[in-house]
Amino acid sequence: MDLQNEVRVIVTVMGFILFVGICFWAYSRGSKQHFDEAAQQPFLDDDLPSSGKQS
Amino acid sequence: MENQATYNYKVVRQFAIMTVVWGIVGMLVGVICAAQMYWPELNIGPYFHFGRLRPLHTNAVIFAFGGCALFATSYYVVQRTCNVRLLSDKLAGFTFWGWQLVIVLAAITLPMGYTSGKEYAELEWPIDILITVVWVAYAIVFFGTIAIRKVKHIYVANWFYGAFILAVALLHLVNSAAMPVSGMKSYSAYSGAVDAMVQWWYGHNAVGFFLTAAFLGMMYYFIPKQAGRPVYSYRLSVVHFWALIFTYMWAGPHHLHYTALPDWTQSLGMVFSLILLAPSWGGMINGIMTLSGAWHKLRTDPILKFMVTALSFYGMSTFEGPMMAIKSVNALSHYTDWTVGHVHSGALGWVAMISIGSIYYLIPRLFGREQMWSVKLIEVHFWIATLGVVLYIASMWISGVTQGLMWRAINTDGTLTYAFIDAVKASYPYYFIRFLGGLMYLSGMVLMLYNVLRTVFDGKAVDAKIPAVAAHA
Repeated sequence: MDLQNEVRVIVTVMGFILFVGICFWAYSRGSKQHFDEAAQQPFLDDDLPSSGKQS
Repeated sequence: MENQATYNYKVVRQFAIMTVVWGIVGMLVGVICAAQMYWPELNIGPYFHFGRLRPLHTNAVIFAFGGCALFATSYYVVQRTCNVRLLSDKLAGFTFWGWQLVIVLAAITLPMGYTSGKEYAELEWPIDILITVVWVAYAIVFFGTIAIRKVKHIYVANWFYGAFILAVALLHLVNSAAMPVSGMKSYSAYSGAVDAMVQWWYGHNAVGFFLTAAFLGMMYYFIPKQAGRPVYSYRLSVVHFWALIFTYMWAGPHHLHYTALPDWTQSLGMVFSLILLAPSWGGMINGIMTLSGAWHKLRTDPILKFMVTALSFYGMSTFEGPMMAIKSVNALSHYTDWTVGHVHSGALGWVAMISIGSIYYLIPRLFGREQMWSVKLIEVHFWIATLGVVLYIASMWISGVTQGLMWRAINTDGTLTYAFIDAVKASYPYYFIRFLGGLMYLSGMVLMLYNVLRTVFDGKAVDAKIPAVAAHA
């Protein structure tokens, strides 16, 4: 039981640290350009049907 | 005939049309239930009784209407953002017919009284097994398509859809674990307070991952596309995603305040429900701010109106939810119509409206038209639906708070001030307003079906070509 509890504590703390890490990573200067490009991804794909052209 | 260089729009078309059909069916059953609350004489025979129709309503709107909307949009988004056709047409077709079979079986067995008694998981074990098989096929198609993608980055909408597919698989397997005793009867693998906790761990995460994460996937694709602007902050969307993943799983105990569940578990559920306010509002703000600089489009574009109103209701109900999870507030609100109002502000306001907006976006594209048959009719649908939601939730708020206050009122000598029937009488007029609100929302869906059918008959089913060059390196 004690080991089980320790595993629970470790997993929870690791989860929290991981989340804080993700926040720092998401807002780091290095990933800005990457994310700005990613945000444009749906717009590089024109999905509007040009009437009658496709069949 | 099938050209390899096209997207699989067939399965998207099938699910998109059935979204509208099941929406009408599910909401019609809801309106019937509402009518039964106001005119109890409508509870006719065992098959048409409120107790049997109510689970049919919830299953039909969540899993038939919501489910079809999610299949349709996720298959569309994953193909368009990965620049590749679905992994397998056959398997995708199987998910469509399998899911429709699940829905039809639910519509037959629930009125007949076959139920496992678990809210939002009422279907008996043979149907549960079928759901599992269909879901595994869905996961293979979705993740398989991501695996063969031509674009390096996995767009954020796909992350939300992916989390939804994984989480629902986990929830369904754990909560539906049961021992069958006959063809249509089984007993839960858990008992007592543990069974209750497993049920609401499932129940709340069904809200969190089926009704929230997946529809946020819709938000992150269809709102930017319809507004013509990239999402306000992509970094925020990343944090939004992981914050939801890390917190939602803990919030379930707030459904069991003041029960046999251990007190610390209740408090834990309450705290995590309060924390959830942050990612929920982060996501909502991210969606709404996507329109900054494009606000004028709201005036002329009813599809965008649907989407932004959906976000407003999302913000409202994700504020209301954490408040109701506070134990002292819950002491007033629990078991009253307030809960019903809260659920419908999320379901009609957020889930249904973002789905309706997304389906209006999809239909012309799937049938080779530039826009819906009538944009005016979308506008009419929008206003009928919005008024319907407002009538529904306002009446349930008043009725719910009235019930809560009357149930707890005590005289100076400690006896109850009101008999239960007094609270029923006090709620009675509001049940008519709720019925009206539901009826309005339903009639909006009928307009939508008409508009969709006109668009379909004017157009022709087309499978769009896959752009030759990958979007970017």
